[in-house]
Amino acid sequence: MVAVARTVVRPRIGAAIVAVLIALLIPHVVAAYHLQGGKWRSVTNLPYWLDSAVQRDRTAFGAAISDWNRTPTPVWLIDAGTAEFASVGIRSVSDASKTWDGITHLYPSPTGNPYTYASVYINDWYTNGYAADQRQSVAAHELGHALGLDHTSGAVLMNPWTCGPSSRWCTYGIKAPTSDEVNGINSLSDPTR
Amino acid sequence: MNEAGTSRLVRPKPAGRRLHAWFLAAGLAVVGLLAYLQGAPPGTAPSAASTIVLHPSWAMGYGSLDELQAAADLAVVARVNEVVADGAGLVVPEIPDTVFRMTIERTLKGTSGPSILVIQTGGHLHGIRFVLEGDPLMEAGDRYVLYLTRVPSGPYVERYGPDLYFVTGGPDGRFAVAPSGRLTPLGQVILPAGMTVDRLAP
Repeated sequence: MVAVARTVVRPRIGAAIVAVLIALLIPHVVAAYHLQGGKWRSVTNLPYWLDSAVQRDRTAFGAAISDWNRTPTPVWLIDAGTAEFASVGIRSVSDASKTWDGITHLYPSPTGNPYTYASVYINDWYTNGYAADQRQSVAAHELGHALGLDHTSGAVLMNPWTCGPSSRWCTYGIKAPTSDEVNGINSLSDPTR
Repeated sequence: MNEAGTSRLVRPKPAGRRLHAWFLAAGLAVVGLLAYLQGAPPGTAPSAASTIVLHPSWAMGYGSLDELQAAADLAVVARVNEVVADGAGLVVPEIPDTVFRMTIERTLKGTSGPSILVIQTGGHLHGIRFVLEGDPLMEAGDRYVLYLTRVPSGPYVERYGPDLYFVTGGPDGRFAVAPSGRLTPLGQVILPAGMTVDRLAP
């Protein structure tokens, strides 16, 4: 009798174990994105100022901003009209002494949260030689940082390398937010966080 | 009651208890893991006002020593001798950079004098420490294998002269050398197990 019962029950326990393992693995797949740790009070109506006279950079950031605003997230970047009212400042530089083609940093409030200002640079020393879509890839990546995302490897926008092995643009051709970035921003916008 | 009937009465109880226990454990595990991942995703470090993290997009990455050797103007085993400058950038004043004097121990590619200057993004400005994500600042006394690109032009060359380099590929071109000689990559290059500085050609 007991032997019969065990025979019937074991497959169910096995199925339960498989279900638990799958359940444990799913969050790892979903949460591939990395967050910086801080966040904006809101990413809706976040004012930016494109402080660059370089037309190709203006075009790249214009397209990148449109792509971010089209994502199924609360992100809505708006033109501040002037530097004074901007929370995100975007500038062009040309620096031959650097390895980066874009860089972003955020200023936290004295208590660390929320962010008060993001400073975004695109390095024309490199991007002047890029095709328009490749330049847009850099712009969209840096805006991802400005919104609070950290680097993630693989076929995602927050891949840190523009070119090289397994790189964002030259390998994967990514120039716009993927579902991973969407998940990251939506997790940042979760009021329970 | 026949045997089959007995089975129906007896079997479900222990099986049900076990399954309930499994599903309870699974539920707790999933809830706990979700809470952990939502609260502290991997790679997350809360920002402090005294440290600001710089988030770069690297123009070019490298996956092997051969790629680095081909791309670099100079490859050396070197020790950080001193910090020559640490402050506002000459091109981007809002972002500090640090210029290090490195003492060359061995040259793997190219030619140089006994010391060179290497510039790295990051440093100190207005009492705030700026650090690059994934590319920690070098410090005096550190020993590295470095694959380097000569800074071709600009205000840094005007100020520091032609023997000024940056690390090729950012963290990819830097390998920490332990006292044992063992190399640790700072970037994405995967080295053979137990790779030491003595095994690097030439």
